[in-house]
Amino acid sequence: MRYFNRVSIATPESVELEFTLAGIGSRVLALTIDYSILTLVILAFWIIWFVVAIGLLSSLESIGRDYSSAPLWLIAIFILLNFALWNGYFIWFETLWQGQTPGKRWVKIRVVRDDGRSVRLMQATLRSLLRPIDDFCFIGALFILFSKREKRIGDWAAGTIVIQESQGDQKSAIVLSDNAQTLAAQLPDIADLNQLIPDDYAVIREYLQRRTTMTSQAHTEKSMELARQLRSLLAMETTPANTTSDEFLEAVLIAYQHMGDKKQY
Amino acid sequence: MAGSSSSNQPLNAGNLVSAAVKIYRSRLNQFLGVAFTATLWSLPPFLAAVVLGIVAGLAIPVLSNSGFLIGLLSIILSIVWVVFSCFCLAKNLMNTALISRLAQGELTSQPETIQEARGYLNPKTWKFLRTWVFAGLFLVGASLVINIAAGIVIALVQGVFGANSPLTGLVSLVLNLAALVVAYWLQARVFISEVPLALEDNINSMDSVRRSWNLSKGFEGQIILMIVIATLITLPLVILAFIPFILTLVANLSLFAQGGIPSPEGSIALLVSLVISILLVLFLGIFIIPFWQSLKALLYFNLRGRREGSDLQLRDNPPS
Repeated sequence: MRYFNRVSIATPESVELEFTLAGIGSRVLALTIDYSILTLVILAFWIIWFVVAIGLLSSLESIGRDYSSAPLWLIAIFILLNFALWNGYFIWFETLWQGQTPGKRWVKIRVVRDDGRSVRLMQATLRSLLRPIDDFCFIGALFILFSKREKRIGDWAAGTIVIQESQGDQKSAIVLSDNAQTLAAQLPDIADLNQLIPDDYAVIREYLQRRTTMTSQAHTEKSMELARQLRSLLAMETTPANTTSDEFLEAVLIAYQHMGDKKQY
Repeated sequence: MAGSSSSNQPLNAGNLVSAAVKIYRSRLNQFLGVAFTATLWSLPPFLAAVVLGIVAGLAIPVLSNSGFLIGLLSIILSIVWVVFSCFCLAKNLMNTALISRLAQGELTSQPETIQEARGYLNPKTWKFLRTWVFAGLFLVGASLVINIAAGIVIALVQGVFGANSPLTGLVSLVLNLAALVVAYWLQARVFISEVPLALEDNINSMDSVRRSWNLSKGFEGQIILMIVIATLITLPLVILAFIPFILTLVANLSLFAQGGIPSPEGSIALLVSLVISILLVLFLGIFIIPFWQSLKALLYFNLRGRREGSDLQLRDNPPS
């Protein structure tokens, strides 16, 4: 089954763009991170403001003129700055980081406009100003859960959606052994590599990426199993001598990649 | 393989929760039915307590001249109640785990009917209780040991540097935080302990807990994060359930604040609102339980992929 909602957008150039929506989990996580950062920032601001205000008031007192309205002004500016910080955080980051805040960046999601273009000051501001309404009684969460395009009120008003960033290959590189490199050079002569289809390559690659987190027993068993299956797929009678099943799989990966390189030229 | 939403890509914490919501919604009617059954099984122990109370109340005047018989009767009634409650709890746990089994069927595109799944799990009913007890005892025992150890160290530091030393405060803060982290970490390791029992053949209770322990190794952080997100999402419903109680409490707060004893009416109102809130929690639980069980099934499925490569399969036959 499909885990995530998708939207497709037809651009004026008749290009169909498909996006995977962020999903409630990632959005809650991103918001939790952003609110944590924001709370720390605001707390720091309060401390600084408090120290500065006390200093200012005492120095004004020493001058001796009538500054009785100063505390009121300080409170007014304080409230204004709090408002600016709270909204500024989201507006600033979403505008400058093309729809991302630190939380969203960490979770790898992004706000875009309904037509797929990146958000600008206007959209970021609307989203931010309507945030308190969305937060009130978790209304926004309910909207995200029950609307097809996962839009909270701020998203409706600004005409935005929140999508997952396309997952480039950010996984750790596969460590390949020297033995595998040597074997890969011999493979085209002893195996019919043309039998491999991209799906097979993807499975081998996924296995080699995941093997470091696998339990040792599962690692051994899966490695043997895949090697055995691969051997029959490649019409090999025996696996090359003095190689482990992992090395064999690595070699097939390298050989397949080389095959692709050659085809390109 | 398909794009980023294909079912065999390892998912991160946020995506696990989103995907669980999707599964939850896809088979909601079925899940709600099973969750309702599970919740119903949590009620009989309360009713039984009332019935047995009445039996005792009727019997005691008759037996008033024999202390021995009254003692014997109380022991027998208590045993009957405990056994009966254990049975109900086991049924409750089995039905709860049943949802994970149904969710797993959805994940692997091999859906089962409720009857099929229940037929498969019914013989394991007592094993679910044992799994729950093992996991619970382990968690309680471990956190006891950790807290005692932390307490001893704090007491030692206090003995050396004095109770008011900032160092004592710092050590106590750090150790208490560390104990909390370890408790969450352990919780993450046994989080899915009933799921293997519900899904795998030839597995006993201890194995099931052990499976959860082994599968979750190295993914504790992700699991804790996932639990936090899922808690945040289900929190509104739980808060909703406690609104009657909170409102009544606030209304009667002035009485407590004055240090006076609350009026009988106030106390009754509080008690009634508490009962209403508990019933509401049970009722809303019907909606919350399937979400958590979907999440557990998904986590199990994902961890099996990550730790055992269960989804990594090559074609059997070469292309013709």
